[in-house]
Amino acid sequence: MSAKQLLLIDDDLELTELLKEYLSPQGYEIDVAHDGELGLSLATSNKHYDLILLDVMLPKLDGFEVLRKLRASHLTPVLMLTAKGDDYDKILGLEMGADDYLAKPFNHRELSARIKALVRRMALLPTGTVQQNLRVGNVELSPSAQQVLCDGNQVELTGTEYSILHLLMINQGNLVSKQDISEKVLGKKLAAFDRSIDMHVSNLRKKLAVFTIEEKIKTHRGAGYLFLVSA
Amino acid sequence: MKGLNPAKSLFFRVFLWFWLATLLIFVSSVWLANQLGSESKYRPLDNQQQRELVVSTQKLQNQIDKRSGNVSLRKLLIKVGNRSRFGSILVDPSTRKIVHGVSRHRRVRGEVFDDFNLQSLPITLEVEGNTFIGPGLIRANQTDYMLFLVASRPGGNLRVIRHEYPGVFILFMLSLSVGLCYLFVRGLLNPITQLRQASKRMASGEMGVRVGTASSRLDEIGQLGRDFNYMSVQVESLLNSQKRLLADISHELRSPLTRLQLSIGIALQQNESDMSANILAALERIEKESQQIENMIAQVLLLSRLDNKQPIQNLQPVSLEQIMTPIIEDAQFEAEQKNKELSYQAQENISLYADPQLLSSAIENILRNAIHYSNHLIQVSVSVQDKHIVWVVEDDGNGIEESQLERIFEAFYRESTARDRHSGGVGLGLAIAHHAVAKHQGFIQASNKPQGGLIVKISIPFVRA
Repeated sequence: MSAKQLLLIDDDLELTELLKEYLSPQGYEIDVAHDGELGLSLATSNKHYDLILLDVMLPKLDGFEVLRKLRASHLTPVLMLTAKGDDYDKILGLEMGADDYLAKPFNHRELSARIKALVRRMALLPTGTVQQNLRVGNVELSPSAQQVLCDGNQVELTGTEYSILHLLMINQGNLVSKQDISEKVLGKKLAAFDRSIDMHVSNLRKKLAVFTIEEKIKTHRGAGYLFLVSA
Repeated sequence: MKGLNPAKSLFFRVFLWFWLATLLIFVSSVWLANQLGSESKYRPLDNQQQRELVVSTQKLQNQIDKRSGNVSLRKLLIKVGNRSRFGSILVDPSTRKIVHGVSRHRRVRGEVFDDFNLQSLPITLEVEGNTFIGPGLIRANQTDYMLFLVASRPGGNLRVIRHEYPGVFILFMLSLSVGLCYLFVRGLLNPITQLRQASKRMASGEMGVRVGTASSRLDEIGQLGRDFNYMSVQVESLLNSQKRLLADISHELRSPLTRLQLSIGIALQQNESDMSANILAALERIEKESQQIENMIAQVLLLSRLDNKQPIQNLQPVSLEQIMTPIIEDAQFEAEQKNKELSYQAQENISLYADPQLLSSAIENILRNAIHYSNHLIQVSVSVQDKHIVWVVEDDGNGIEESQLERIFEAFYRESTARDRHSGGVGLGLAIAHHAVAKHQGFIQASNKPQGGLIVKISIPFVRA
């Protein structure tokens, strides 16, 4: 298995040095950009990245702008680095298609756990080795191509949205708890009143609703979600 | 009404003194006027009065003569008086008392006419609001009488009321003086009341307090009001800059702390067997302490976010169970670790509008405090009382000194006797709880139990979700 490619966009020079030093021994190759413009051009270049670590406060182009422009063309997983105490950033980030967020200052163990979850999430899914295409009603998901079709139209999903949909479709007709989704998809325990799963599911719904009027994902308030088996 | 106790109310004291003073002045001036006013004033007749007297005397005498014999002088007097702007009275020259006349003039004191006899030259005499013109000579029923014309002096009506209905008159003057005194004192003391309320609000922590109309007066009180406003501005900006400093420092600490934690991570990545046990232990200690700093920074930032005036953003319907279950589970676990017991009672099926995270952190902080200070038992209950949801957390510890009860919700407050730092706290937990509850328009209150131990009560308005 080749080294995973990470792109780190942060203007704190010392921090990026340390992150490089910390993550390299864990088998990641890291590119660094110190401003939003450079970061965006690297992220949209031909080089494939497995994960982008994106700071919010950036010179030239802030993290949200980078994310917005990136999502116009790329679905690379993004882990937002927000600042603790700034409540708004995480909600906004998730709304705009970030896969997860981590508040600075963060614990180094937590950082590597999150990166691992986002980069290798496919391995975390209980699908076994054979990755069959899944079809429920007019929604078709092909794991090999990481592609989702709805009524034959391709639906552009972020990595996290894709993984959540995959998990829900495997368990079609059954309730999947938010705890399960958080642990299996984001690699973290669900914190009390954490709304990130709801944000992802809400984004997923909106994207599916473009192509179908049928309700696909049902909410059980406080408990979890279930993918409806269509009649 | 305690407002009427002169010992406690400046308003009533000033009012009372001022009113007594005016009353005294009033009474003494009335008394003085009476003393001076009883001196009669004589003046010679002017031409018109002369003519009036002559004509009236003539007319009356003619009427009497026409009837020759016994006539009712009273009726005649009224008859003549009705046609004239003067009233008429007849005075007996020997007794010098009024024998006939309109009743209201009979109140004139007898000695008024003492200086007159049948030979007196007509003059005008002013006594107690009445003007007498006379005497004119009248002979009826074989007796001589002195005729006086009477007119009430301008403004005399008040005197009449005073003479006729002294009770009404006194009541009127009393209420007039009370009214005026009231207006005067109110004008004087209202701005002081405003100032008092403003400083009270300021003392209770409200920022941006200004006195209103009291500061627009031009006098010394207005000056005081403007000075108060200036002070309020200064205090506010001082406090704000202090808070901002704290928040800014905490903000700035985040970057180096992130780097510190990563450095620890890098250090721990070295092959552990290469490290001596001492270094490993020290590294773990460093990691633990930096985690501690992180928690404190998070608390300071949360507190400064709670301290602003903005309403809570994340208001949502949430069931009480959803909030309480994880908190109680954690707290029970924590209590067990310390060989203490935590009991929980709650009314069922309550759901409310709240910011669940904020509210949870408030309750959590109170519980953690109770667990720490209790000896053995912590009791928690939730119920709906009078449109409020009320959490009551009781412990069986030593309680808190009465004088400190209010202060435990201040940021960075620590009981002086127990300067221990438990669970990474810096004395912000209760302050956060206080602010979080205040954000829900609720209040938080601590009191000592008579048998020892502390009761903390959180109460927020119950908005059914």
